Amino acid sequence: MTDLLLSLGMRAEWLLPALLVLPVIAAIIVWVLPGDARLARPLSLVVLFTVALLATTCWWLVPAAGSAGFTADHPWIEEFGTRLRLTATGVSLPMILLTAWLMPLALLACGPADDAVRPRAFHAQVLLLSAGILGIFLAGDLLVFYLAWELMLVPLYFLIGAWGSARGPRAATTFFIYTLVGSLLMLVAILHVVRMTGTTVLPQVMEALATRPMSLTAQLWCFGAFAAAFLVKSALVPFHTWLPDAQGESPAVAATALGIKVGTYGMLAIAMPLFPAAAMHPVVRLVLMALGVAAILHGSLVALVQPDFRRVMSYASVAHLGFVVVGLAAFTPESVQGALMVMLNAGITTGGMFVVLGILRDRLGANDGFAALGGLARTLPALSSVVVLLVLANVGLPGTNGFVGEFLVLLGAYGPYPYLVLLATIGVILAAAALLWAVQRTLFGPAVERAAPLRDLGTREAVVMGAFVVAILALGLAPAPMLDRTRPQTLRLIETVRATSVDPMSLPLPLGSR
Amino acid sequence: MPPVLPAPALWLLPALPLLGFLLNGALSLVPAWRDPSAPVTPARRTTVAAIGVGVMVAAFVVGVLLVLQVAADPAGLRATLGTWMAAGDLRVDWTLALDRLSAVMVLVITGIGTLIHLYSAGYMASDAGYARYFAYLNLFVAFMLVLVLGASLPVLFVGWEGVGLASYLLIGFWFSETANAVAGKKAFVTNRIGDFGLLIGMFLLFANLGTLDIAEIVARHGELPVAVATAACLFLFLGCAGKSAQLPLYVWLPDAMAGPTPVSALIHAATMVTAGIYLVVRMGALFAAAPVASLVVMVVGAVTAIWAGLVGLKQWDIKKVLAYSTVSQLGYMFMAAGAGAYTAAMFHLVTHAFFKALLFLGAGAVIHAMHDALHHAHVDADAQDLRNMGGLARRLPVTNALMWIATLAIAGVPPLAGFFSKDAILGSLAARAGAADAPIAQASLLGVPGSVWLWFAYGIGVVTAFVTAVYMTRLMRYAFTGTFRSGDAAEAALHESPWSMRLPLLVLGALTLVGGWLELPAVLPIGPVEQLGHWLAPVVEAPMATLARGAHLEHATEYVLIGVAVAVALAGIATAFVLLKPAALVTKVESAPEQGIGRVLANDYFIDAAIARGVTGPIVATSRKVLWRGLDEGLLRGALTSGSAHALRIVSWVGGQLQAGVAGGYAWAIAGGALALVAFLMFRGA
Repeated sequence: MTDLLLSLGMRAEWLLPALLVLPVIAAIIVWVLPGDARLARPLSLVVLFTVALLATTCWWLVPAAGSAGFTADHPWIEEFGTRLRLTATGVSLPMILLTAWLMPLALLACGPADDAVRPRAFHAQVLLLSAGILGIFLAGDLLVFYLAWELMLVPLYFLIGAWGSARGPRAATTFFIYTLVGSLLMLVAILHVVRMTGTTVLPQVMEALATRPMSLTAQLWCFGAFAAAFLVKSALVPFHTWLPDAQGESPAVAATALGIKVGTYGMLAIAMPLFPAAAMHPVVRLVLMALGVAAILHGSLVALVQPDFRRVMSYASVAHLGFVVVGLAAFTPESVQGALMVMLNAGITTGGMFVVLGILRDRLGANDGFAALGGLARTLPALSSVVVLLVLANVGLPGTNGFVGEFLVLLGAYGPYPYLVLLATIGVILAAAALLWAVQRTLFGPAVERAAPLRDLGTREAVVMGAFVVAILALGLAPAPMLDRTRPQTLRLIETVRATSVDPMSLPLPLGSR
Repeated sequence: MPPVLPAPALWLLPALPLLGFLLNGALSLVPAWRDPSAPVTPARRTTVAAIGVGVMVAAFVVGVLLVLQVAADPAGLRATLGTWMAAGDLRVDWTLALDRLSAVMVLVITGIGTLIHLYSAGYMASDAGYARYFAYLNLFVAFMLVLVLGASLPVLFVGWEGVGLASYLLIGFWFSETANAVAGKKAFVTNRIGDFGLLIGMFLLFANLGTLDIAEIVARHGELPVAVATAACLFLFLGCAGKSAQLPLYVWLPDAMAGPTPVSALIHAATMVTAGIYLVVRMGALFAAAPVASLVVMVVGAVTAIWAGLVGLKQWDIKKVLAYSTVSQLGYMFMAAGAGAYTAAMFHLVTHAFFKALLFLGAGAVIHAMHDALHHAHVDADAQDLRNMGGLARRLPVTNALMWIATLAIAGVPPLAGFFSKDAILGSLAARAGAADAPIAQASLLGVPGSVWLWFAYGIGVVTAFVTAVYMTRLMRYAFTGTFRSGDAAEAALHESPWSMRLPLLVLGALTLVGGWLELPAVLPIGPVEQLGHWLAPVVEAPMATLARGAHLEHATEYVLIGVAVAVALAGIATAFVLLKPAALVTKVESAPEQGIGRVLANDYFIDAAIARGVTGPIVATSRKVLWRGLDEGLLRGALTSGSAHALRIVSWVGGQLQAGVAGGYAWAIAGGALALVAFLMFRGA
């Protein structure tokens, strides 16, 4: 397969930039150029599915590229030492595939209600959003990373504010302020790193920092700034309250995109390798562990008492994020690979839930709180079956994808942090309670009387949900190929961070230094 | 004998019922088939039942052929399909293993499973969800087979949680009733509490041994310090207590009776709920290395046995009596497993599967008949309440006879199956209690030596046997003797079940009659003795020898013990005949509520209310009031969102005041700033 792709001319030099450039060009065409507004949707779908197919080739091309990664490197701004470097590695591969497929599928599932208003602008936002998120995962240069990070912010702001529900604008503002504050902190840290190293190209930055390490104090400050950006963006407790508002009020495609864990990816791929001494500092790890466990317990408990399914899912995804953070903080080979799998799987299961809840909202209108629901399983058996499967994946039933990541995280973290893992594992009970209660109130019980019979999944929707079902079962029953692809680079990353982190126990805390 | 089937055929066992699930699941989603207004046509019914029962028959045949190979070669079979997951030091393959122990389970699951599928074909005939029902039931069997065949703990866990899922779906099968859906959820969540323990047990074992393969854990358990082995066993047992409905996690099982009755027979009596006993026996080497943990298993089993048995005395719902009886009998099995009497535990597991499945299916026949009759006579009464029955023996003679056989068996009357298995358990407990050298007798729990705990368990076993005989005789007398209490019109409409329901009852009746011959005690050589013990020896002999070193009973003692057991059983039956007055019973609606201790038992010690007040209620209230409204919506939103907005407003107000356009103000500010700068530079220089 690899040879076939190479013989077809699949080279990183054009393939990776194409993943970003195609949606941006399409966004300009859709938004700016005059034309029939009805063409916006088919054009966007064609472009996004093309991107998805191109990204899929990375499945074979990334392992073939070896330790250097599958990389496109073009000169850009010589003065800053910035290059247009895009790279797909074993660490980013799951997230690239996730994003590339999730965006078109979520858009395909969108009903007419979502893009009835200003369809051209709507589709342009979705296209830009796709480019932004993919840019984050592909960035091999700090400036590229930062630009992509901000590029993701803007379309999300508009999607939540302009195409969300009545409370959308407020939620969008909260989202924007939260993430902007975080990313400004990150910008300061990036500038500091650039001043220290004279370049923004990530491998060169890391090499420079390995030969001339930053002091522990500086590392802690910079790591803190990056972590602030990343953890606010991933909605880690206690910076999580914007997420339920944003996901609860936004159209399905935006809520799905919000479920893609860009923040924790940044932690693993950028912050931890850049500032290894800080990342490996026992106090930092303990704080992260504690926050992760708090997120798992708090997210699951609050999910119990939410008034509608979207908010239940939002809080459940706060808990998922807790598992990722626990896996990263424990930093064992099992737990880090597990964290990657949770990032991938939570994207699929949370995304799938928001897509199916979007379909449900299409049927029921805005009034879809638990109080107005019940007994849908009788009238919508196919949709209900999908909901049940997605919920089971969300609560980590073995055999579904949700289990693999959580199991590896907890198993790997148990060695270094047995008592915190004991607490974290309680989350599997609470998550089941919260989500099955939501299922019971939505699908079971006496059916609510309705004027017109509800329509079960149509063909288009069935295709989308079928893709989710396939992903859930494939990654649940046979995650080995994915784990094989993430293993080499994850192990190398772990070794690098551990090797370049000066023994943290020998260094004083910043409070006592100087 | 040359192998008929290669080892990879092991995968056929779960694959066949899984195929049935997929086929019937697809049929249940076909729009034309799920129109509730259109009744299920005979042709569709035949198709669905043929698939559902057919895959079970096929699985049973495959199971028998494979077990024959294990009979020839005790080493067993292993088949790997591929790697499931590998990360760091962990590597889990999709591997199934069949040995003498899992062989017993496979025969019970596919054998009794086939009978209950056949029974269901008749029992569920008028249900609109016919295809969905068979899909779920097949799914259950597939997962149950993965559970008993899984060669590593994670693969076992796939089956473990999978049967929980099937159970959830089947308890809530009639999901339009909120109560049924709630019962399903309760079962799943309560089981998850147990699964939490199972997960921690796995983490603990992996952290210490670096493997989760069961055979490897069993082989290398000696590397574990006793404290670690004890902790691992206790966590695993928490999982067992959830799945096998032991204190305090048994509360889901009585509610699980909301599901269709064949489901109660298959899942909540014969197979799934015995998974905990299976796991303890499977990990016997580990438990044998942790005598204190074994004592905990035994004591929890003993307390549960009498706890639930007493509740069974005061239940009116025919299925609830059987449900509490199941909890109690599972406690009996844990008594044996905890004491390290693994053969006795498995023996009782098998005989219980026979007679309890028979009792449930018999109860199903009663409910089926009652339901139809009440419906026919337009009587609005509870078809499952014993007070609404009476005198059913005249109309349901076959069911009556078969249920009496099962009743005598569970009460422990010789020579029925239950007598032998119950006697094996009581005898093992007494033997270990008297063995001074046995680690189980030497271990100390809560400062009390193991030998005392063993006598305690023996005593509870005897008392529970008495209670069991009473509540079962009570059920039989109230349901089958005396006069029918729901009116003549309904009585005239009572009828026996169709052949598809009666045939499984007959087979189970035969098994209940002769099942005891599986493991005849040496003192009663009315046939080849201790067959099951010989069969299981390759798996359980070593741990049993470790934990119960030197346990032995004199033949004279054994005869005394048998005499006690039989006397207790007969005394229980006699007590029920003397004390209970079926003639004085009135129907459910006319009955006065229970008083005193009867009220406590009828309400299961008010444990559900206590849990709602003490556990679930506070958790939900805290989550809502403190964590959500207080913390998220109040403090965090206030401090971080609105708070920062206020802060910005103050800053901008200050800024606005400063930029008032008054030149004097600016001049003062410039001067002040310059001064400050000068002062800063001076002091910095110094």
